[in-house]
Amino acid sequence: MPDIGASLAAPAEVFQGEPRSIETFFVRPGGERVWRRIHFFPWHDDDGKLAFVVGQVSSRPDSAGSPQPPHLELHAELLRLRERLYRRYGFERIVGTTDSMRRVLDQVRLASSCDANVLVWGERGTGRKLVARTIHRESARRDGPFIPLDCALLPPDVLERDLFGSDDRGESGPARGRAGLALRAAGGTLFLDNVRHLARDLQSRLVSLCCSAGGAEPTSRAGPLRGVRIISAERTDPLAALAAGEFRADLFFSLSTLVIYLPPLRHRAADLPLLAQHFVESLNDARVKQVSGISLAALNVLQSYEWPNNIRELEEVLRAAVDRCRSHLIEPDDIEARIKGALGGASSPTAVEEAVDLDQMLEREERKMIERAIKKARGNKSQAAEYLGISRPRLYRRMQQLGMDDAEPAETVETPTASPDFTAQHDSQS
Amino acid sequence: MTCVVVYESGRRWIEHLRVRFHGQQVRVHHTTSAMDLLGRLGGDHDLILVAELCSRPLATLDLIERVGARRSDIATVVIAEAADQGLELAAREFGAAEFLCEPITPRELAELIARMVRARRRLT
Repeated sequence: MPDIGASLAAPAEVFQGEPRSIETFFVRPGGERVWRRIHFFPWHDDDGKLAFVVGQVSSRPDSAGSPQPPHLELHAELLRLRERLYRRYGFERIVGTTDSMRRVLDQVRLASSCDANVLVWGERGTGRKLVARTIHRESARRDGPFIPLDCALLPPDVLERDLFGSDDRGESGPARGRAGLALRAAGGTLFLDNVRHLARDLQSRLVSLCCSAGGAEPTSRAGPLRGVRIISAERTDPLAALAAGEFRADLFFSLSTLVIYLPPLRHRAADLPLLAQHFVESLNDARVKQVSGISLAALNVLQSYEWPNNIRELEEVLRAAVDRCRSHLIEPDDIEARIKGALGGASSPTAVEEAVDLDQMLEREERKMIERAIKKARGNKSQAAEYLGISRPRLYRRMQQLGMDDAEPAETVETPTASPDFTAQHDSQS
Repeated sequence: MTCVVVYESGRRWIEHLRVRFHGQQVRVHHTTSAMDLLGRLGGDHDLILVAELCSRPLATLDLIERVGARRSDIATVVIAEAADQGLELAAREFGAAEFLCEPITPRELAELIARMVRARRRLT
């Protein structure tokens, strides 16, 4: 009914949970009356509350007579599932207060407010997918599809068929005689993980797509959403991949209008308490447990570990710990032995720790972390600050406040830190 | 060790996959239960899920979403009864790495999974 502008109210029974149909007429601009039947379906959220009402207009008489057309039911259920999926993503899910994570959050906000292509890179488990989905959810494309494709996982022929479609009639597969996802995801976001694994000829086709979609041009939030936006991701430094010839230069520049580097967990150890608390709370909700947090002794164990698989590994370890935990606090005994092995028995929990004032304890933990970072960086304060996820001046300030030796900036052999982030992200204070 | 979990109502795919991956450091499990599937997600082994979308597409999409929430690194292959663009976009949005639709033979599926297993091993 595109030529008729009208609004009407659903019957009261619909708001009490009963599907209803009504017949009514609309008047075309020329005065002609057009009769239509309208089916109203209430839809409830997880708590049983009315979330919305779906209306379906059909011609009269309704030959089917069914109040529940299957495709409409499917659509409403898909909306509900999508809503649940989207609750898992958002700015608030990117947890961290270190300088490096504040920077990440600023960049994610910037990426969400424009329509430029984004390249996210960081080690395994640092949250590339979370960042990509958050950008999509918070962007003007949020109502469009978010289509992830792992370029390293799928064979090139399958990837080509998925991305660009195929006219083949004789083989089985998803894109048989259909448009590819690059076209069908128009108005939404295409997330290409491990993008440097894309075959060279596909890289070339992707460049053409970027050019035709104008994806690399930042547009205003209110502007039209042309084509598909591409968020790509890499585990390793994309500049190195570019130098190694794994990335076509034109593709790299098309995809990297904005670059977001996600630091590994070992470089932002100061965020670990916050992350641990965040995961314990969300795991608690999912498991109806009464675990309120994590003891300092257990936190000490976590902070002694290198976390090669980053946040994903931390979440898994805490999931197991919450399952094992029999009290309101996770203790070292609840943590997997392999994590505790990293501590080497250097700092086992004692009764004294439990009795110490919280501020003193936190200062002591902070001092330990700083000492550990400096030791690991072989005395290089810039590197140590990077490990801790803070700026160098902030490290010196904190060392002074904690009364630590060697708190003055030493003009010795401090080799420049090779920042893993090649965008203009140098801390203005340092 | 890679683990392939096949979530299907019958046993159309499982036997062929078991034969295909015999002796190749790939464990192949069969399940018809969503609870059982969710229980298999722990551990640090590499996981590939094959999920049939045929009889109850919404329930399977719901499950894929839950699986993705629990293990974001899982690779899920969805098999649908027929080409349905809306369903494909939804399945991919909920985390499916690949969406296949009938007709597909067990051999074709096994070959795709074998290539995915090799790709995952190269990455890790």
